[in-house]
Amino acid sequence: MITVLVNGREQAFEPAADASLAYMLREEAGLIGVRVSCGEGECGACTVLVDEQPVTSCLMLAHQAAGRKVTTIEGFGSPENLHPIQQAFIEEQGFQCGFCTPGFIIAAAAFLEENPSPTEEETSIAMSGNICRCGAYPYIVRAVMTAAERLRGASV
Amino acid sequence: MSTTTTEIARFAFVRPDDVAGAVAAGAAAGQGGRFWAGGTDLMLEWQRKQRSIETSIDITRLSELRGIDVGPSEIRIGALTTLAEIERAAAVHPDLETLAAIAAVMCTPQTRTLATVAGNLCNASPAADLAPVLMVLGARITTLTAEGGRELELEDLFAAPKQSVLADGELLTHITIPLGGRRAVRYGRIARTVVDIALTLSACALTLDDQGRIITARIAFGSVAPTPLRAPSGEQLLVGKTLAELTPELLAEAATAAAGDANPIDDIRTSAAYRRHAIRVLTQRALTEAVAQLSVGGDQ
Repeated sequence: MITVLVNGREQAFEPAADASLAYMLREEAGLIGVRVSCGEGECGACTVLVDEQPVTSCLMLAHQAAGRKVTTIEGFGSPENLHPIQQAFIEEQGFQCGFCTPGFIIAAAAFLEENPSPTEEETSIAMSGNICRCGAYPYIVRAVMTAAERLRGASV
Repeated sequence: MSTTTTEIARFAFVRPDDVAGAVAAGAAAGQGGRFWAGGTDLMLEWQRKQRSIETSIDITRLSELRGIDVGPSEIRIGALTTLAEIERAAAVHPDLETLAAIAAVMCTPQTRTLATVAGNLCNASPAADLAPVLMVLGARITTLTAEGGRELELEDLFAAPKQSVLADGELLTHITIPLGGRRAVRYGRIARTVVDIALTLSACALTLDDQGRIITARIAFGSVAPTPLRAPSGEQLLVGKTLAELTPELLAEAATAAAGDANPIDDIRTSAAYRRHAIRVLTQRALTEAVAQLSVGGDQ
């Protein structure tokens, strides 16, 4: 039995020893915003924050999250009050099918936390751990740049 | 209609509180035990049934195995230091700039937060990108078992593809890079994209003594042999020379000799012939850059 602080709420889980964090979040916590696409740490769709660090949750053992703080896309904003990065993805059309979007948004949040004023090139490189099969990359970079601008404005 | 129930083999998961507990767990687990850090390779090998594991020993909470310390004569890198931390270590010491630059192009940002330096080394992939750079930096590794510790040269860690010389229950605790002399460290790497595994990688380090002569020259390769590889045939042409004697012709000769030490194969990423050619070119470029760096930095 482990407890994990998931999206601000302490929850108890009983994952198998070899279960991935992604599996536990989807199957036990019902957080299906955690997308599993490649399952091999290549595509970034399963990206979540663990203690504010972005991780491919398909590669991390669920047990390694014991006692730690995990944030999934469900912990970002709410339908009535979207996170600025979510809002920017909608406005800049940073997706088509939307499957990869949670991973992109979380990777973007971690990146902008570290680099609030990135160049477009820095943003592209920072987003290189996420794959978008629809190929919305230019729009995604634009969305992250727009979000960066808003977040900078909000923190002044 | 019948239902078949398949028993899925699972490992035991243990989380020791300290290093002593970890090596005790390693000794108890024996052949079926694996120290589990970032797990970015182990998870895939486990899921693909390429490796049998009876006990996974989670070492990620052992904070004494984490972080980079710069002392007067050496840099000590804890085994659990992540690639994300290495990537940000250029400011810690100039000799780490090249290591940081390579970490920044390995796997992906959200995997570098998990993957550890010791994992990259102990997994013993011939394509382990950190290995050649650490080898030219003269890195040694320190390991611990329930019986005691030992220190060995990093280049002696690799036995075969995906196979290290470490015994069951032997834990790599830290990596030590000796300091001293004026050193230039350079590398060349070719990969398909920024997130891809290298097709080839060449690293070199040249160190000057007080008289302005090359006191040590190290060249090491990734992805051109069954293990990360030192290239002594190129190195010995450079030792003892002054910077003025390191002409473009001599560097070309050294790169050609070094490339002769490579033993590449054809695989899904590229051909042996391409690797053999590329490793020579990358080595020549890296040596040229290293000499240029030492030439401008003469007053340091």
